[in-house]
Amino acid sequence: MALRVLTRAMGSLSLTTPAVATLSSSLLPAAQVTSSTLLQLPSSSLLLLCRPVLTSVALSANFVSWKSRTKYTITPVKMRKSGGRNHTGRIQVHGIGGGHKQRYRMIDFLRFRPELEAKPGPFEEKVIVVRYDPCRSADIALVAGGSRKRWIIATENMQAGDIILNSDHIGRMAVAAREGDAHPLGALPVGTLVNNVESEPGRGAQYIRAAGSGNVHGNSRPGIQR
Amino acid sequence: MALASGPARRALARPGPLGLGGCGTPTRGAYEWGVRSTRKPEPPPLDRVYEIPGLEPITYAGKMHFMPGLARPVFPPWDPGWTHPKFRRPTPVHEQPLYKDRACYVFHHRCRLLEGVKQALWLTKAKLIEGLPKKVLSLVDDPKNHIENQDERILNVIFHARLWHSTEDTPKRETYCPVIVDSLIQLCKSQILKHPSLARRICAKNYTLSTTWNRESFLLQVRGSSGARLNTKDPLPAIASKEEVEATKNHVLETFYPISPTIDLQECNVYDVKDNTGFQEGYPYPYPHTLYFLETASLRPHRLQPDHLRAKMILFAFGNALAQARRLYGSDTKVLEQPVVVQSVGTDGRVFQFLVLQLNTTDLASNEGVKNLVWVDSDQLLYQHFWCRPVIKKKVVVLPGAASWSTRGRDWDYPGLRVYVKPTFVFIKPSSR
Repeated sequence: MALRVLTRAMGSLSLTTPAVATLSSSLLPAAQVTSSTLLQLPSSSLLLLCRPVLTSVALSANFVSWKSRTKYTITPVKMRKSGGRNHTGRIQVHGIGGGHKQRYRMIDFLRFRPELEAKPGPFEEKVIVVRYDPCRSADIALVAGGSRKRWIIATENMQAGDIILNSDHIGRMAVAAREGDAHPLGALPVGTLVNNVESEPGRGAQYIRAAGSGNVHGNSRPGIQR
Repeated sequence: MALASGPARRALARPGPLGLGGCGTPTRGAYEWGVRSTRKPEPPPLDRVYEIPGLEPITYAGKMHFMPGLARPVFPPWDPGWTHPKFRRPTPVHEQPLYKDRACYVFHHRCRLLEGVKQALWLTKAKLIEGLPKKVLSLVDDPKNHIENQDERILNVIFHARLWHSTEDTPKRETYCPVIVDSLIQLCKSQILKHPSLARRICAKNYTLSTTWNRESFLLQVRGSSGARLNTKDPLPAIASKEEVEATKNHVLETFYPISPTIDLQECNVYDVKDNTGFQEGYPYPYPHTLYFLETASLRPHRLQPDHLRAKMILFAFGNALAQARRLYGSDTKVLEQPVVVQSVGTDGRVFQFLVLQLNTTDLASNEGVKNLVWVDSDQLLYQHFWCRPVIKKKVVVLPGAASWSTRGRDWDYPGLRVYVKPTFVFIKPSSR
């Protein structure tokens, strides 16, 4: 709409006044038109007849997030870097930008996610390969269980061929924790090093995900883990 | 309800996903893929008037323009009566005629099985034996089956495929791989004068195969067209004797817990259970002899790894054998008195894999009983390297290019081209059995 207003207003403007234009076209030949234009200056009344016009318009930021994929897959997904820019297009965080192109591997942070809703109990998975992930400091492991494969954050001594257990069961006795297994915090003995911790069951791991990180499980009251 | 908003409202509406001994639902679920800004916007919700049963809401539909205070009209979806071919949508899966509730796991030519050969053996209820059977190896050693000037002719074949037949400097795998296989088969066909039974064969490409079988509560299917198939007028005789076949009853198939045997197979609910050998009833060459699989993709991630290629060969050979057995002996599940034998060759232009499969039984639902037999000869190189262009280091020619080498005398010590002729080539030759 702004463009339409602009063109209408531009159409109403002219280099010469209408009276001078008719005179020049009828009496003077084309070669002398230039001299007549220099003599005539646009008067202030003509300017008042024009609508005020914006000759520039701000560009809107066409920001569409690259995270459009709704279905989980293990193949790497192309991603777009932000460069520290937010949805308005301006820099919000300085110092970010450049670097090698990366493809995002969709990591499943909810360890206890049974493949079928019909079988809700603890289940095991096998580690297929542990590889470097360009998007994070930690390595990632491709694990397969049942008929599905997914990426998870790999722990320190995880190797191809390991079997890992994902469980949501809290028993009376604390579980003898093995490296790579996932248990509720209430089932783990005090003093185990944990990583990929979720604040509530079903939320997904949000804490202690970086390489080299690990926290000591210190709460000594079993059964009240939230 | 009006006080709740956002995640809390979703939590109230939806029951907790996990019953963890009675603890409450999480305030937020795990991350859901797909940022909200890129998701399609939901349609606006219906007015509350529509929730009252028996009440006819007054809408602004008749007024042909919006009126505040009147309900938003709900129109039936418009059916224009015809669809443009460009914009036709497929019918939903549930309404398609071949839809079935039981899921079928289909193996096609692009499937890469996670466990490779182990998974293929479980799916086909087969026992693996390393190395080709003695009957086939005896054909290799028989001097009557050797071709005159065998080594030189194969060198010519390799040079032709990798260098001469194309005008490019370095022909791509899509070009040279089929040329190598075709030339080797042509070389074998040149022995028709010595072995007239070779004339009772024909090669067919672009055939479609479809077989279905049950395997321990899974419905499996092999489908698709992959490579060429050699058909004969006479069936291949059984390789393993009856005693060896009976001895396979004691063999236990390898499982790979916790991985399910149907991983990497395409699960679909729309399928047809019919068996299709790819050829009609009156075809003059009814028996399958050898299948040829070519890996012609130039990029390494697109090519199948040797393990995956062997698994694909096992499954397609098994599919052909099973379809043939069902056509000859009916679709009952039983142990076959005359086992069906199918051979298979897979290559990527340099490395060859050979396979002989003997189908002993069509009773595949249980894990006990007689098993099928598979002989595999894997990773046989036809040649080590082939450099079309010379290797130059510090302006000195270290290795001459293949073009210059071929014009000099044939020198067996050329480092890039060591030819391993015997074990690979003579197998490709269709045997005179």
